[in-house]
Amino acid sequence: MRVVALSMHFEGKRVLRDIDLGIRRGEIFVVMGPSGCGKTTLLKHVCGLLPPDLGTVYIDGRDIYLLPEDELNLLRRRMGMSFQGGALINSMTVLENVMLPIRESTGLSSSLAVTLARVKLDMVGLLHAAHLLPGDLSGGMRKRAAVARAMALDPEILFFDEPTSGLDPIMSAELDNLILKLNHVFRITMVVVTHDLASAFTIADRIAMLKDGRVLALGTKEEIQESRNPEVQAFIRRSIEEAAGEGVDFTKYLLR
Amino acid sequence: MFLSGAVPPMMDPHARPAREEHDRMIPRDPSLETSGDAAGGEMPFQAGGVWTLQAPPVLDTAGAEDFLRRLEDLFSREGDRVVLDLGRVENFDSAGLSVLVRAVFLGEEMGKQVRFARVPPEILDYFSLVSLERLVRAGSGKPPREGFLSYLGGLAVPGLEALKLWFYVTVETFWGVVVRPFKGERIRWDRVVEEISAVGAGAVPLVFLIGFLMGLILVMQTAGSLRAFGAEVYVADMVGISITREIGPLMTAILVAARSGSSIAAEIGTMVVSEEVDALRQMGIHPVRFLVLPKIVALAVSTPCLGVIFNLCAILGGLLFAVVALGLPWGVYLDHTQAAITQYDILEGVFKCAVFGSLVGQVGCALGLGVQGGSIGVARATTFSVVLSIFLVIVFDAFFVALFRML
Repeated sequence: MRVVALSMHFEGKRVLRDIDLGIRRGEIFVVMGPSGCGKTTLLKHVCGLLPPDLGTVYIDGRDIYLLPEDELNLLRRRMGMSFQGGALINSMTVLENVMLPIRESTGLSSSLAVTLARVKLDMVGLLHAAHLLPGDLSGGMRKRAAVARAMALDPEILFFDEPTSGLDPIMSAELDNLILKLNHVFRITMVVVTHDLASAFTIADRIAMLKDGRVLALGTKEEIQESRNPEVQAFIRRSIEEAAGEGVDFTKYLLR
Repeated sequence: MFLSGAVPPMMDPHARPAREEHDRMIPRDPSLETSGDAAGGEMPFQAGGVWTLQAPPVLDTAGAEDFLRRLEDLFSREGDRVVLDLGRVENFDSAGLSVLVRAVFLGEEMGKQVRFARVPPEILDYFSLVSLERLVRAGSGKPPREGFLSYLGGLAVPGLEALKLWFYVTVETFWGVVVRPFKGERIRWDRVVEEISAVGAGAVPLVFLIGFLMGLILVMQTAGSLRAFGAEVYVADMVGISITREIGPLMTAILVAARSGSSIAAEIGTMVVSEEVDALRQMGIHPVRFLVLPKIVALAVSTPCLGVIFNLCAILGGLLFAVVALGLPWGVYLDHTQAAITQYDILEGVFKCAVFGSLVGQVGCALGLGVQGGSIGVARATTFSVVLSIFLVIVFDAFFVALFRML
């Protein structure tokens, strides 16, 4: 996938400026950055949900926003997206949710579709919750159900929007493990948007750090960790501006 | 017997194990590997009570159904063991895996042992992600069917809960209006005014239009019959009386139910679902006194006003038709109208409107507060609120008519 000179604005505000990125097949690519830096918007551009104001998105060498609708739909079926809040259909059970893409896009019979959906649910550890409604699930379970649905059609590319936000540390680690497993076994390309540092450094092959709609840094895990850029370091170390020690000017401090 | 879903332990999360190491880490089941030549061919091959079937090269979404059918056919034959030879499989995906899972499940159901032979390492990777045992143990995946009796029984508790909520809402509102102001807890008039603006003022255009059309329609329909007696002038009386006593309050209540009853149920229902009601309680604000009471008071106050507007517009509508089509002088029409309507008619209409309005509010709030189950719950509460309000309005109307005729 390639993103070239992409720019986007919402209601007069520049959300993304001149983004250039390349994502290699089979890698886990993490997009990080402070809240509001445009990560989720970038994700929506790249997975074909939102056309940018300027710039192009290429997948397999094709400009996805120039494709006719039916070809774009075929492309979308080769991708899966796990949304931040799960985005499960509330009126259907978990099983029906995972079965939805299977029924719509493949000609599989009912019994095979059900088995396939259950296989996916077992992969994320939700087999026991198959007949529950999304409203009955905890946050972690909802996220896992979303991943199961994203994986339903054996996609070549998986997108994750904040997969570990709101999860406890153990569940976060399990989800990271699942992402790594899937990438390793199925060689799926993964694009993960997150601000969970631990998660990012566990799973990433390469990381792009965004700030104010621009790419602040791009490189492998190690390259980012050793970056000389102070803003990158600040984000990694979660450091907050500290007031000076002695002899502080209180007026300045109060007015800072 | 089958592979468990054990995850290969990731000792160093930053290193990806090499291919061979990965293979070594997956626990092997001897039943999954048979060294040696192909034990069967395209057609099922039987030897000593054991059927062997070779899977085709294409065992993915395209070829899955076909293979499954052949498998089902195989299982229906005699024999207590089935061996599936996967040596020739080239294309494999989750659909193919599902077929194998179904095969194992069918084996369980029909009491046959299922074994896999010559499993390629790529397919083993798929197996490493799921637990066949778990999948088979959990059954066929069909949800349990609910009987009719249990469905009826299932309605009982929510029904009683709804009734409870209705009483709660009614009593709290009544107390809040009649008793508490004297104990020092004032009614939040600013909220009441906001609600009146939404519920009352917002409905005026609709009431205006429908009222006008109703009057027009009434006169249009009956003028012909009255003309036979040369009594067209009495359309004025007819419109005046029927609208003020009956049609006015009833139609106004139905409009209010459709417009505000549904929106109240939806608004409160959504607040329940998104935990806003919990937030109010946590802040020490009583949800019913804050949310419900202003709405019901607003409805009880606005509906009579809307009713009066409806009546006036209906009379106007009748007047228009009478003057334009029947040639009645508008002074005559108005005189007749004034003579026919008594102040009791008007008071009766206003009283009915007040009761109907508060009924709509009670139903909407009670159903909204009782919402369960996310967006479907809200949708159900909204629809039911309109239906129930209209039903109750008509029931009370019948009751009032009987009452006032006796007085």
